[in-house]
Order: sequence, then C-alpha cells, then structure tokens
Amino acid sequence: MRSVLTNILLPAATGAVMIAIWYAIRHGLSEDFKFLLPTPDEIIGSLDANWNILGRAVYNTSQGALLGFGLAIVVSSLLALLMSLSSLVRISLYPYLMILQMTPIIIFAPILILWVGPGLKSVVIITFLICFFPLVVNTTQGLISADRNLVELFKMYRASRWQEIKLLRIPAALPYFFTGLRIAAVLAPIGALVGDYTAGSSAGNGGGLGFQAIIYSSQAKYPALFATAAVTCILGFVFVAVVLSLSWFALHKWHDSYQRTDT
Amino acid sequence: MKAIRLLPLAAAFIAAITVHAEPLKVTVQLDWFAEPEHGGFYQAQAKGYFAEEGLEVTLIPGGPNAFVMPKVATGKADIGQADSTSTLLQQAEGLPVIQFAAVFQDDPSGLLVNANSDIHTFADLEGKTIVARPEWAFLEFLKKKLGLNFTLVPTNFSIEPLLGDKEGVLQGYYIAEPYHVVKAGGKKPRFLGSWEVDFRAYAVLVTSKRFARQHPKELKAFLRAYIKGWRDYLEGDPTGAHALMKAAHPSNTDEFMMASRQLIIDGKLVTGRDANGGPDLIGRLDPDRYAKQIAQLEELEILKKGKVTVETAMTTQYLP
Amino acid sequence: MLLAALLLSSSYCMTTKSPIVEFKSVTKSYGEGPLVLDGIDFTAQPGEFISLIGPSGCGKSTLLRLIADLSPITSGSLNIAGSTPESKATELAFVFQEPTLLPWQTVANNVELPQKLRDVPAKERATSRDRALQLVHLVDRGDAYPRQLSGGQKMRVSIARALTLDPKILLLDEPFGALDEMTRERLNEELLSIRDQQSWTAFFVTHSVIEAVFLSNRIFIMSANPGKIAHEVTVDLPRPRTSDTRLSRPYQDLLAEVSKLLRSVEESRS
Repeated sequence: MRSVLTNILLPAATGAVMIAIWYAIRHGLSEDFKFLLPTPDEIIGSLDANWNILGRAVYNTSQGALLGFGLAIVVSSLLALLMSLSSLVRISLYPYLMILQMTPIIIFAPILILWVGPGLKSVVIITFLICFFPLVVNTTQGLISADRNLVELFKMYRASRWQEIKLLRIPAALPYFFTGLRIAAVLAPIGALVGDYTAGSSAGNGGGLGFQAIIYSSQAKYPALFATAAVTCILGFVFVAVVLSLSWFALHKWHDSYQRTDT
Repeated sequence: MKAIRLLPLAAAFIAAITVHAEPLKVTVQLDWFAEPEHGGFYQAQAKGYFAEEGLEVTLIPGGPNAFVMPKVATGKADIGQADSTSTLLQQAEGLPVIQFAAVFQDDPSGLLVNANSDIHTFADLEGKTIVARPEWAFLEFLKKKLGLNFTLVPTNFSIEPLLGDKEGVLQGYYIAEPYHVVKAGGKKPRFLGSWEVDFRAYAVLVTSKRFARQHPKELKAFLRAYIKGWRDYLEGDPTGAHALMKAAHPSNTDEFMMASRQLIIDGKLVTGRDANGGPDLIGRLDPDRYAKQIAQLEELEILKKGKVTVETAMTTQYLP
Repeated sequence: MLLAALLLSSSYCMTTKSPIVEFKSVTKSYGEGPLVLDGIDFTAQPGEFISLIGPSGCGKSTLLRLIADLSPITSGSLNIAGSTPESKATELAFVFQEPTLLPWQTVANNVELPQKLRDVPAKERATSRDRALQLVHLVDRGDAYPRQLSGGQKMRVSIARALTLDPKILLLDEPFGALDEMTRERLNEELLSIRDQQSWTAFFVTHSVIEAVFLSNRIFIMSANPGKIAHEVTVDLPRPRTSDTRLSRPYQDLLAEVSKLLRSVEESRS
C-alpha cells in the first residue's frame, strides 16, 4: 500500500515541480523573449484551436508510419526466411544488409522524394527503409541461430524442412525478431516525420506532423509548434508501447529477457 | 601652474566625449543571396556611407534557410529584410518585431509559372500545386479572396519546377528567377504578380523592438546611409555594389546583375509606381497603406481583429 | 507374406539372441582429417547396457553418433538389426549432454515433440506423454516452462521425451555430467527403474567410473589417437541395483579394476 502510493506520488510531485519551473522560467523572460517559451496552457489552448489540422496530421503521420512499418515487417520476414533457407542468398546479401543497418539511411529521403514525389508514397518508402534493415538483420540472425543441439534433435527425428522451420527456427527466432521490432518501432515515427518534413505537402488530406511543424515554424505560430511537438512525442510513445506489449505477450512466459527479479 | 599641467588631460577628456564612441556593429540578415534587390545595402557599404554614419555594418547573405524573422526576433541579427504582409501575420502571433523602412514600394513577389503549362490566370491555379514559403500571406489571400483551392509544398527554392514540361508554380521575384530559368535553358516563365489582384505589399526592413528601444539614433543613421545607397545604386554607377555582391555570391554574373537592376529601375520598385513616386519616396512607409492592408486581411479573416494595428506594426520615426 | 514371417520368426528362434547392434571394423574420420575411430568391432545384444568411458578425444561421443546415424561411417560395416533408414527415427532415441528442450514450449509439449514430428494423433500423443512423465516422476510439472525447472528436472524431461516413441536403442551422451553428485546418483537409480519397465538397449557415454559400473553390464574402455576400444569389462552385478549395491564388495572391486584400466589408457597416450 505504501509503496504504491510512493510510486505514484513521487513522480507526480516531480512533474508538478517541473511544470512550476516551466512557468517560473517563462515569467522570468523579458517581454521581448516571451515568445520563445509558450506556457503549458497556451500550448494546450493552441492544441485545442488547431485540432482539426493537427488531428488530420496525426492521422497522416500514423498512416505513413504504420504502412511503412507493416510493409517492413512483411518484406523483412520473407527475406529473412529466404536467407535462412539459402546460404547462397544469405552470403550474397547479408553483408550489405548489415552495413546498411549501420548507416543513416535517412539521408536518402531527399533523393527518394526526387524520384517518387512528395506525399504518402514517399513517406511510406522512407519509413519502410528505416525499419527494414534492423528487422531483416535481426530476424535472419534469429532464424540461423537455433540451438545446434535442437537442430540435431530435429534431424534425428527425421523432421521435414518445413517442420524444422515451423516448430524450431521460427519460435527460436522470435526473441531476435522482437529485438528488431523494438528498434524499428522507435525508428518508424522518426522515419515518417523525416519523410514528411522533407517532402510533406498539403496535398490530399494534408501533410503530417513534420509538415505542420515546418508550417507553424515559418508562420511564427510557436504555441502551435510546441503543441505539434508534444503530439508527435505522444504518438511515438504509443507506437513503441504497443510493440513492447506485443513483445511481452509473445515472450514473457519463457524467455530470459523477462525474468522476474523476485521469486 | 597646476592648471596648465591639467590642460592635456582636460583636452583628452573633451576629445573623448566629443569624438564618436566606437562605431556600433550592426548585423543585417538578408532574405536571399546577395542580389540587386539588396542594392541599397551593398552600394552604401561599397561607398562607405555606413562608415560615415559611424556604423560597422555586416551584411549576412541569406538563402534557402535564411531564418530572417527568428534571427531578428531573438537578436541574433539586428536588422532583417522581409515582406510586409507576411511580417504582419507573424507580428499578430506575438513576434516582437517592428517594420521601419521600405526596401521596395511594391514587393516584386508573385507566382512564376512554367511557360509550358496552361496556367495563365490566377483562376487557373485551382487544384494545382504551388511551391512557396509557407508563411506567405498572399497564399491565404488567394484562398480567401479568390476562393482558390491548391496544394502547398514548402519551397526548397530550386527553380526546377519551372524547367521542362512540368506544371510548376513557384513563388519568386520577377526580377531574378526568370533570368536564371532562361539561362538554365528553360522558357521564360510567366509571372502572376500579387498587385494584379490588388494585394500590395512592401518589401521592408524589420528590427526587434528591443533593438529599436536601445538604438534609435543608430537606426536613423542607418536609414540615412541606406537611402543614400539606394539612390546612388539606381542613378549612379553600381560597380562598387556589384563587386561586393559577386564576392558574396560568386555565381552572380555581371550580365545578370545589370539586367536585374534594370528591371528594378524600369519597374520603379524602389521609387514607387504611384503618382507620388520618385527618389524622395525611397525607404518611406505609408501608414495609410498599412491601415488598408490590415483592414483587408482582417476582413478576409486572415488576421484576427485587433491583433495588429498600424502603430504596433510599423513606424516612420527613424526615416529622415 | 505369411511364409516370410514364419521364416523370420524361425530364424529368430534358431539364434537364441541375434545382435541388435553390430560394428565390423568400423573406422571414422571427418573429411580429410585424422582417424577419430579405428577398427571398432563389437556386437551388442538386445537389452544390454553398455557404457563407453575414456579420455577426451577417444571418440566415444562419435561412436554414439554413428549408431544414431547423425554421422556416416568412413569404412567397415555398422548394422542395426532389422532397421531401415526410415525406421531409424522411431527406433533410436538420443539424450544429449544438455537437456535440449524447446524453451518456448511447456514440459508436456516438449515431451510430445518426437511424436508430433511423426504426425502421431493428439490423443495417442497424450497417452505416451503422460506415461513418460510418470516414469520420470514429473507428471505435475506438465505445464511448466523449461526455465522454471532445475537442471535435474530438465534432464528428466529430456529422458521422458526420448522414451515416447518406444525406442529400441537409447543413446545417452554424458546426460548427468552437469549435475551435482546427489542428483546424479538419484537419476542413475531412476534410469535403471525405468529400464525395468521398458526394454531398450542402452549406450551410455560417461566420464564417471562410478556411473559406468552402477548402470552397465558391459563397459568399453576406450583409448585415444585414434579411438579404439582398448578394454572391455563385464559387470555382472545382480539387478535390480540399488544404493545398497554401491556398498557391496564386488562393486568396489569393479570400480578399482575399471579405474586402473582407465588410468593405464590415459597414461599410454601421453
């Protein structure tokens, strides 16, 4: 009972203090510079006032992020499976995939936009690219890393290739897959934002949150800019939280990464 | 005797307070690369007019990411060049800046249209894509006044949409971009000028309210030099200014700079196209035009009523 | 068809005991490498419990893998009575050094795995599974996950799994090596009690002389470089063997004899 209270009260109190400091800083700013730091209530007010635009922007960015993310999962899983089955394919491709995973692929955004044009398509492709490499590298690693003894066990029982994949390699690859998924989940909103930032347009349903950030910034609508930033953070958070939950569901019963610290 | 020994000291003291204090350093953030639109600055610089007024002026060329307004508002630059109507919108958002002198009596901004497209009038813009600065007040004006719907793409300032077979519509100055398009092998783009639909903006100089409060004398001195510079640039020999512009932006050719300058002269952009135009109008702002503009924007609900007034937006107190 | 069956059964009656595993001059090397096993010759009768003991590198694990057909022989002949390559899957069961359980499956599902791989229907699987779990005294842990079990428990699950397909030959490669002394002794006794209820032939690789003597009726002491069966010791201690057996004189003598032979083999290689 006591610890529950402490666990809720302490962070809440800290949060209240931080907000108080925020107001204090704002109060301390000279009139000439007040515009640099909108107050929380100004931001919330602006969020309310601009919700029809921001709501649509949230929808657009989420759409881009989800589509790119989903596409990356599907394509990476298939490619990973292929690479685990064919060492020829794996040896040919894997080094490049690993290198690309380590590079800031986001720099290709402007080039992509040149080829594909601004809008949802390029946002999806950029998000796909940024999510694809950690997923394919990790999943492949998982598929080829099944315990050698287990592989021998399956061989001994004359398991078919398909049985080996379905009952051994894929379950064994799950922890690796979820590692890649967690990485990709953090990157997906960033990819969608950058895609939008670089190429967003008000076409169709309007741009996404990145586009809106540019607009508000150039129009000096700073409370709205802060509001956009806040909404974007929440969106990213939710995205990652959902993936972490999925990861928990799949792994918590049996995987070491979910050890209980107490007995 | 004691008094005589004090004399040199007294002389030095008197000299110190009568001779100018060290010249004030002033930074000016330009809105684009150094071009003839900045003729007033560069000629004043080349001819030493700023120095005469006791100012040490640094001209910072802009470009695609000039960030003029944030820089001026936060004091990272003292003076900036911008368009008057977009500034009005930003002032309405609380940005602590003030418009204090004109660069152009009529802002030569408009929409440049790819000659290969079939967009000839503003009405033809319906449903098209316009590449422009997101804060440009004229865009809202087009939407509200002319009831147009179009897609906005924030500009990266490349003239690419105006080349080849595209339906490109790009915000630009008619005194500059068309030249570059032709030089790049494209057809000279058509120009839809904002004043054609009764939208008259100035190109202005802005400064932060803070700087204005702290340095009123220097602002006056600045404008004296600036106006003199413009006059000299337009009526006299622009070689000095052009040399500085070339140094700041090496891709400026003499041919381009002379052509652009000529367009400014022919268009009476600096001296004014109305009946009262002339060298005496250089740099002047007309409060009545501002009143009319603010009323126009408020009526179209582009500006919220009362957010900006003529008094809070502009001032003529620093003009000679 | 009937005639063939008649002939087969009569031939079975004529030879009182036909061997279940027969090695004839078997050698083994990996690729172009040195000989790992050289001149392996022996026959094993059904129901025997044969331990393989020897220094590292003597090829005892390799020998096990040859029987399991996890690796091919290089020369000689290896016969496993009445089995075809297809039938080998159900007739041989291998218990590895590590329990080798699927961490993402429950104990029950792990035990069912071999049957699942043979497409045995669910009901039948459940019966064999429950029987196997009973044999190793882990019926109440069916829903647990491997990480919740102790080392000894995991090993018992591994053994239970091996037994579900009613193997003719059980191959065990140092299964209790990672466990403490007490658990080891207990599991040895458990293994023998399971053996009483079933009828497999066992090949057991171990480093422990105690284990070899307690469990087996024959001990092959192997030497290294190349691997050979240097000595064979017959263990004719009476069954069932219990903790009392460990105190008997004959047991102690056998321990001494095997230890001596083992030492001589280890010394000769250096």
